Parts: sequence; C-alpha cells; structure tokens
Amino acid sequence: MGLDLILGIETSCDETAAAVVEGGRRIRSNVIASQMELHQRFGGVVPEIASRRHVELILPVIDQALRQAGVTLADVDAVAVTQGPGLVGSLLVGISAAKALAFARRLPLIGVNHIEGHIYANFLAHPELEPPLVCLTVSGGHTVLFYVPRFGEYEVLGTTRDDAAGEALDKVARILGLGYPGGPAIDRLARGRDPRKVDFPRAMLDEGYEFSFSGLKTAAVQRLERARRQGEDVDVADFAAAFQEAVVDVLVTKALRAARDKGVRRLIISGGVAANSRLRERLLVEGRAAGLEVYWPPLELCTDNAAMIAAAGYFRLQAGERSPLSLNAEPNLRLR
Amino acid sequence: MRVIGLDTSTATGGVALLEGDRLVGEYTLNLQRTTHAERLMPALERVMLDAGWDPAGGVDGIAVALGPGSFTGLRIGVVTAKALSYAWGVPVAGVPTLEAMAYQAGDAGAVICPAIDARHEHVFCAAYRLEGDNPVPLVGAQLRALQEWLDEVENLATGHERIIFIGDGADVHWETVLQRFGPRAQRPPVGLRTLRSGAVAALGALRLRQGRRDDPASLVPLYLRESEAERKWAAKHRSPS
Ligand SMILES: [Zn+2]
Repeated sequence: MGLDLILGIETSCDETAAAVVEGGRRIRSNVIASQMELHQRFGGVVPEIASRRHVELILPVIDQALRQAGVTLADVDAVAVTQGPGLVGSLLVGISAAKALAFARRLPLIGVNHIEGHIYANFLAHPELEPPLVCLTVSGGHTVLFYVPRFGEYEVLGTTRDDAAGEALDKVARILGLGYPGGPAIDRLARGRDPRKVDFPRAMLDEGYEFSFSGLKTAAVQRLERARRQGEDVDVADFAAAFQEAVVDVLVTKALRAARDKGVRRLIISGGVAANSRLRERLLVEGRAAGLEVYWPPLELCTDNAAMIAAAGYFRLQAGERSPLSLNAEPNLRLR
Repeated sequence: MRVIGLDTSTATGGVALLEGDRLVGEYTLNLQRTTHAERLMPALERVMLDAGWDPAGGVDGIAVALGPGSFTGLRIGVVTAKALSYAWGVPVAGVPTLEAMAYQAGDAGAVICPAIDARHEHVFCAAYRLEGDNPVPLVGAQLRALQEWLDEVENLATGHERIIFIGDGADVHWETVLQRFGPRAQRPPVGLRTLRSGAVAALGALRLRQGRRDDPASLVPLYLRESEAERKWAAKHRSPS
C-alpha cells in the first residue's frame, strides 16, 4: 500500500535520465545519459536530434536505473515523469515510456513540473533541509525565484522576461569561441580574474524579482564586435569574468532580497548554473553576512536528472495526486 | 498467441488485439484534433478492458508500425511498444508502415503502391507484390517527389497490370494519379484506405512466429529523413568532389 519507491523519468531537453528514489529523500540510483557531444557541432540542442536520441537511450537508461537500485519494476510503487516545461518531442519520449510502464504494471502515474523538480534536488542532497525557504533556479532554460512556504507549495516571485541566465552565458561563450556548453568554460576562464576590467549593465537591479538578460547579452555581443572591427585585442578571460559578474550580481541581489522580504533563513539554489563557482562563492559570503544558510546540490543533481523528478513526484503522490493515461507533454507548463 | 498492434504513423492511428488469427478488437481514430500522446494509452486500456484482456496478465507480443510517417507520432508508438515489451517481458516486432498498408490492400494480382503524404508534393512510398498474404517489396520505403514516384511506378507496372494505391499520399494526389494511369489505377473502398492497426498486429504476429523479433532497446522508427539541422549541416560541409 505504500508509495515509497518511485521510478523517475526525465527527458525534457538533451539528457535521458532515470532514477529510483525511496521515501522522496533517498537516492537508490540516478542514471543520466548526456547527449551533449551529439549537439556540439550544431552549437546548441537540436530538438529533432535530441528526440531521436532519447528513443535509443530510454530503455537502457531505465533498465540501468532499476539495476543499480537493486530492484525490478515489480518492486516499484509508482512512476513519476517530467511533463514540462521543455522540448515537446523530447518530453513525449519520457512520457510515453512512463505511461506504458505504469499501465503494464498497474502503477500510479504522476506528471511532474521540471522546475519544481529542480527545487527537490536540494531536498535529496540535504536530508535535514526543510521549508520555509527561498529557491533560485537558474539554468540554460530557466531563471526563477520561488518562495517555498512548505513541501508541495510554491509561490513564483519572479522569472526572466527574456533569456535565461544560462542561455546568456552560453551565447557569450559562443561568440568568445569557447564552444558549447559555454557556462562552465566561462566559469573556468574567469577564475582569479578582475571582473571590473569591462563594464556591463545590470538590468532591473532595483526592481522587484524579475530578471532580464537579453540587454546584457546584446551589450556583450556589440562590445565584442566593435573591438574586433577596430582591431583591438580582447582579453577573453577578463571579458568572460566581467560578463559573468554582471549575471551573478543580478542573481545574488534578487535572491538575497527575496530571502529578506520573505523572512526565511534558508536560501537554496538549483539548476545547471547553480554549479557556477562565482555564484556559489558570492551567495555563501553575502548570504552568511545576511544570516542565511545557503544550500546547493552536488553537480550531478544540479544538471537535469530524474532523481529530482522522482522526489517531487513522491510528495505529489503522497498528497493523493495522480495523472491519467492521457497525460500529454506541456512544453510551456507553469507551476501551480 | 495474443498480440497487440499499435499504429501512430499518421493522423490515423490506433490499437488492435489479435488472438491467433482472430482480430478480437480494434480502436481507430482519424483525427487532427487530439494527439497520439493523448489517445494511444487510453485507447489501449479501453480496448483491452472491453475484450476482457487483463493488463496485469500481459500479452504474448507487441507489434508496432515503425513508419515512415510523422516523426513525433512514430516515436510515441515505438517508445510505448518498447516500454510495454519491457514491462511485460514479451517480444516486440517492428512493422514497416507501408508494408502493413500493402498487406491491408490484399490484392494478389496487382502492383501495390502504398503512399503517405509527406507534404510539398512529396510522398513516403514503396511498391510491393503479394506472395500469399505476404508483401514482397519491389521498391523499398523511400521519400520521393510525387512525379518521380509516379514515373517509377509506371516503369514497374508492366503491360496492363493493375496498380493499387493505398494511403493518404494517394488520396491527396488522386486526380494526378488518375490522369497518369487511367482506370489501371485503383484504390480500396472508403474505410480501408488508411492503415488499420489490425494489419500491423497481423504482420507483427507473423514476424514473431517466424522468430523475427526486434531488440526493444535499440528499436527506432523508420524516419527516412534526416533532421533539418543535419541536412543543413551536411549541405554546408559537403566536401567538394
Ligand atoms: Zn532543468
């Protein structure tokens, strides 16, 4: 009768992932097959290619997750799957697999919001962590500030009006010739550099919790083009450091403001950009100064993974929620 | 032997239950209004329930239409077949969609030309003759410009041989086909012109009986077309030769 052991499936972008999570908190397995190399020559994720690769990987990844957990489908109590947001073709691969498994084994099925999943990465990594808290989710696809008063409840404080933070980092990395994905490359190059050598705008720093990164991105592109036209030497590392600092500045300022306004003592970050060392460093130092405990997940839980989907699904299942077999992908799914 | 047939190749799609040589149940929808993602699993549940097949009991095999067709639709069918095969521990057989259409046309004395509309005056097409019930390919599945395809059919169908066209690729261009071939060109009656999942189940069952099972992990749709990104990339990086 328990709903303890959850099989999670995540295929919203370019990682095929499956995981087994016990009690919403304990990771029994967490398998991620990245397609990064497949998309590298195109300079970004190609949806049709990603969907095709998911079809090839989905069953081996699910099988490996069950094996590593030392269980079979017969031991699993429910299936959780990412419903959106994400690439519709990619999402449909995971959803089709999840529905067929749930139907064939007579298991409860739950569709999970991918961004909600990112919040749960921290609950998996830190067993003592409890709401209330503020969560900053930043990746190539999203930039969201949440207030989480208790498990299963969210208030979206602000999102980005245009580009996601990770998207801006990737774009600038590309024009700097740093390849794809560019976020980690910028992070590496910027270490130990003086971020004040180049001056970038900070968008909407004083206004609420909304973000905007497209203006910053455009400023970087124009500055680089002008320098190249005029034959100036651009120090790529200084340029990267300054750009990263502009992004991090906005993220840190708004996250700390949200924590202060909501009166919470815990601030968590999640998503691929949560792996950024400069963001972590500044949040840790400035968060502590503001009396906050700051948490982030380990690298394998920062990037897209299925353990976070299983964990988020667990809490929804406990609340009695179920998804029907007509469950469809929702590429623009919003949090509720 | 109980076999489930799944088809999600085109706007038409559905599921069929086959027990031995008996078609026990079939559920087909031909709609643009809903997607295969929304309707495939509810249809399977409905038809199994109505037929008294207990999902917990499983079946003996899964047959799935591999394509060509809509990329997204094909993936839904193929992934569903993979996961059912894995969950029930039963074999899966992928059935080329055009071959199933030729099987359904069932005319032993003619050249059978199934075609799926690929838009922009192109069709996914092939040509078969039947040996017994079994479609034997004369031309394998391919993506062709309509006029090129009709030229090829003209070369295939010698003398006054009848040509049976089946599928929405023929329906969309029926006037053109008639102009080219006159009364030699025929098609099945209304109601049998688009693929029925019963035909997929029957061909799949045949394959399974012959031991031609597919590896569920590596089974992929028959796309017959690269992604646009790959086509563009290849065009840009073509080596001068
Ligand atoms: Zn994500």
